[in-house]
Amino acid sequence: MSDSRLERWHAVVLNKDMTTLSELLADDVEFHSPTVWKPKIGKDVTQYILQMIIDIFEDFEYQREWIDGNNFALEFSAKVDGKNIKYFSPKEMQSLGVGRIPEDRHHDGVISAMSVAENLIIERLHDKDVNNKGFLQNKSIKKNAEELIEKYDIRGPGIDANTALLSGGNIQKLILARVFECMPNVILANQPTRGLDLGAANEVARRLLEARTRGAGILLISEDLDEILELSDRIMVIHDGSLTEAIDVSREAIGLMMAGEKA
Amino acid sequence: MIRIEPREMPSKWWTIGIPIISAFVAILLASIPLTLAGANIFEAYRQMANGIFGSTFAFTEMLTRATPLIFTGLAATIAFRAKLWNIGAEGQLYLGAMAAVAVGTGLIDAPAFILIPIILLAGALSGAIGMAAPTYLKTRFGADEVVTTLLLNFIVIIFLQMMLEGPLKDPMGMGWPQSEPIVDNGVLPQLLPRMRIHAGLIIALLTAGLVHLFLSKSIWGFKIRAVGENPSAALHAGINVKRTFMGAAVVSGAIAGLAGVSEVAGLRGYLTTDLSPGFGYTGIVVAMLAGLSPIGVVISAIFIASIFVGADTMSRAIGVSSYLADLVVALSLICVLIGGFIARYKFIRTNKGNV
Amino acid sequence: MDILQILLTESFWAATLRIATPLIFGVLGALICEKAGVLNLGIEGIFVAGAMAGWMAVWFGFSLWAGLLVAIFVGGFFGLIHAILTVPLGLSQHVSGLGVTMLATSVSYFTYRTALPKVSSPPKIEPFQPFDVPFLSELPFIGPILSQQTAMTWLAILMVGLVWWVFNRTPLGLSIRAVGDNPDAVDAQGLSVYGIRIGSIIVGSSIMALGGAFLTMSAFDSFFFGMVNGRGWICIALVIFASWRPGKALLGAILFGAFDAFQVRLQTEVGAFLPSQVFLMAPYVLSIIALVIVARRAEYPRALLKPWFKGAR
Repeated sequence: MSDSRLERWHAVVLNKDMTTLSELLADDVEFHSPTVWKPKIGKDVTQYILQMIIDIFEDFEYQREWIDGNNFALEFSAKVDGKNIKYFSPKEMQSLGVGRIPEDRHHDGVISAMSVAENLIIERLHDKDVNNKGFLQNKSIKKNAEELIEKYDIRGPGIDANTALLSGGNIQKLILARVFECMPNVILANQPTRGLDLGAANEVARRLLEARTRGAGILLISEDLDEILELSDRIMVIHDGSLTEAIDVSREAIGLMMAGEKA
Repeated sequence: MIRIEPREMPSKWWTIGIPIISAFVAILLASIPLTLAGANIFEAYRQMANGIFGSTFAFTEMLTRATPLIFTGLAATIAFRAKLWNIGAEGQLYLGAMAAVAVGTGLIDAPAFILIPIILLAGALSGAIGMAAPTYLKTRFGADEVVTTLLLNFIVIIFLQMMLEGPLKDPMGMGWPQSEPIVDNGVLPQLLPRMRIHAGLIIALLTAGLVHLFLSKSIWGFKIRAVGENPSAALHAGINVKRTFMGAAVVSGAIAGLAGVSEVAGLRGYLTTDLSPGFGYTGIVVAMLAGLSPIGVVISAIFIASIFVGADTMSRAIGVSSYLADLVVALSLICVLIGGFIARYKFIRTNKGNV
Repeated sequence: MDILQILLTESFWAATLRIATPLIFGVLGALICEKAGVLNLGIEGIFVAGAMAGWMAVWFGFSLWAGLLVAIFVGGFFGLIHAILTVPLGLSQHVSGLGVTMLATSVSYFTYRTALPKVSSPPKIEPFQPFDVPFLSELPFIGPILSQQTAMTWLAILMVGLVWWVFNRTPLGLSIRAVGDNPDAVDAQGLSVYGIRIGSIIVGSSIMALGGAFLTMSAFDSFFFGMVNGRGWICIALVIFASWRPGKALLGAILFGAFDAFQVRLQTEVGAFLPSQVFLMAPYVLSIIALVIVARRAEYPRALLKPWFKGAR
């Protein structure tokens, strides 16, 4: 009994057979995933999601199986856009084109005791213009820093000054410079304008929109409703561990959702 | 109320001046125990200076004494730059010495230009393992390296006793726990006739230059500095923190191991349990006094060596305990700590209630 | 067979308590400092200073208890140095502690050598004698073990109780624990973070000094160079092992003492097969193993090793 269901499941995946999939799913099936905060309940929505996955994932393969009576666990590997889906270290994230603007810029974003020039290349230690056979290319690092402080309006005592001496806004601009110069495909921006003055905050917003126009995907985490409303294409609200999309994007509606009221 | 604020940029003068001032303050403070011991201060200082500059021999003795301190100072510098607290240089030194003796007392028959590098390599490798092990325990299990390296020192010294009474024992040593002597081809050459100063000093100076080069100009050195200043930001920037720690550990331990090789193959000729009067620990003071700068380590090592050699002479001349040297060294460390603080911060008087 | 027999002898357990006593003092002292948020690596030097100062006081005619007071004072003095460097100045606790160890050791060695010139055998004092507690020494098996202990061992055990009581039943203890966990909160309540930390370090260091004093005034009767031999460092490892709790500290110290007493006896049993040094290494190896085992899950006081300054920086 269980074996035949498993066989049919494999057939669905292999042949992208949607009809068989429809037969396999119960009416009250639940879809749980790290990508959705609340489980999706119901045959239609589950089928819809599974169909999308089967279409988008390339080289989908089951690696291992565990069977325990009526319970199955199947481990799979797949690729999206030619890249493997698995846990990424910060280094791999960068090489995959993910830019990150951290929440705590002093603690996680920059090394305060190092210079502005050094902080600007810290994520690019193996690039040709930084690293020549294991040694720092001081001339090009300096040139890079001079260009970037110009372009991103980073103000401070100079490229060799300790980053600790920069104001919060200028540290953020430094981080922006580092992130945006790499033309990332995905940007994770965590509270990017917190503690910044108006000018600096507008600068951040402008750059984010620029990247978005370029085609980058941006995940913006913020507590500033104005900022969210101004910048976002889609808004999702976190409350008490669940993530829900805001259909009504008025301030009132979102505010209520933040307090826990269902939209 | 006094408020403390970081200075804009500690000027170069402060950075160099503080260790020098600390050193002098420490020497001056030594006058207190000297007086309490009933000594004539001027005579005491005169004898100390005599012990350092009194003759060519005295001066070369001081340099000979500085050689292992340069090595252990460099070892501490590399590790401390990564905020990796290597307190185990003493043990790593002995590990290096044991390896030198294992390899260099007749096991291999080769001309000097082959044998000496082999001995150096063996010693470096041995010391490197001595620091790699506790650092691995740190990265894998989170075991604090301060305690593990400290305890390892004791283990190594007991192991040394075991070796010197066993496999490494000199059958012609009349029963003393000492090793066979290093063969002629393995001995580091003397630099001056009738003086004890040896090629270990040259190797130490070369090492200092290399460490300086790599720390300030290489990517590897950059990573070490970054991890030492802010491991969290370094990790998020894509630097492999664990690998950086291990790299710093291996080099630090290797250099400490070279200290042992230098003493055995350059100065003493054979290994005993009292090869090192605490060079490993003193190396920490050397490094701190130098502000964790490899070039500064050379100067700092010379200073500390002068204190010890001078105190020995003074002790013999006027009968004051030579432990005074250890006292001055300890005072130097504390003075340089306080001095560093004064250099980095400025004091602002505020009235209560003002921010 | 033989091994079990060792465990059943009185002399084994008596030795265990004797070896454990300095460790109890050391772990308690280190525990107090760390609970307040400061690592005190001066412990090794403070052991030496306590050993020398207490002994020398008796040598010069003071009573044993007065000697202990001298040791306490000396320990507190070096603790004060460490406290000033690490609390208001916020300097590296590692380096400051090592500096204090070097200072305390060198001062002690210099003072001893200056006051007592070299002689063939170290001078002795009249140490603490085994202390007979009337009722307890009647008990079977435990009785003889306890009656071989000196007053200092009893002091150590009482101190465990005292420290436990202060930490868990008094507002002072609560504020010490709070200062090592969340100094901002303590500051917000109007208490002095600096004062509590400095006070804790001084008290902790004074207790550490008693550990050293035990070596020269109870376990042995003279002072010799190198006698502390890493006991202070072992205490630092044991504090982590004891999860910063006085009760577990006592247990850890006794366990360690048992192990050390055991290896000495084991040496006489199987000494033929293994060189004596293997047994000598055992306590240090054990400490490292203990540290590795507990390190992962160790719940360090949250503000430990983080300098705290008045007024946000």
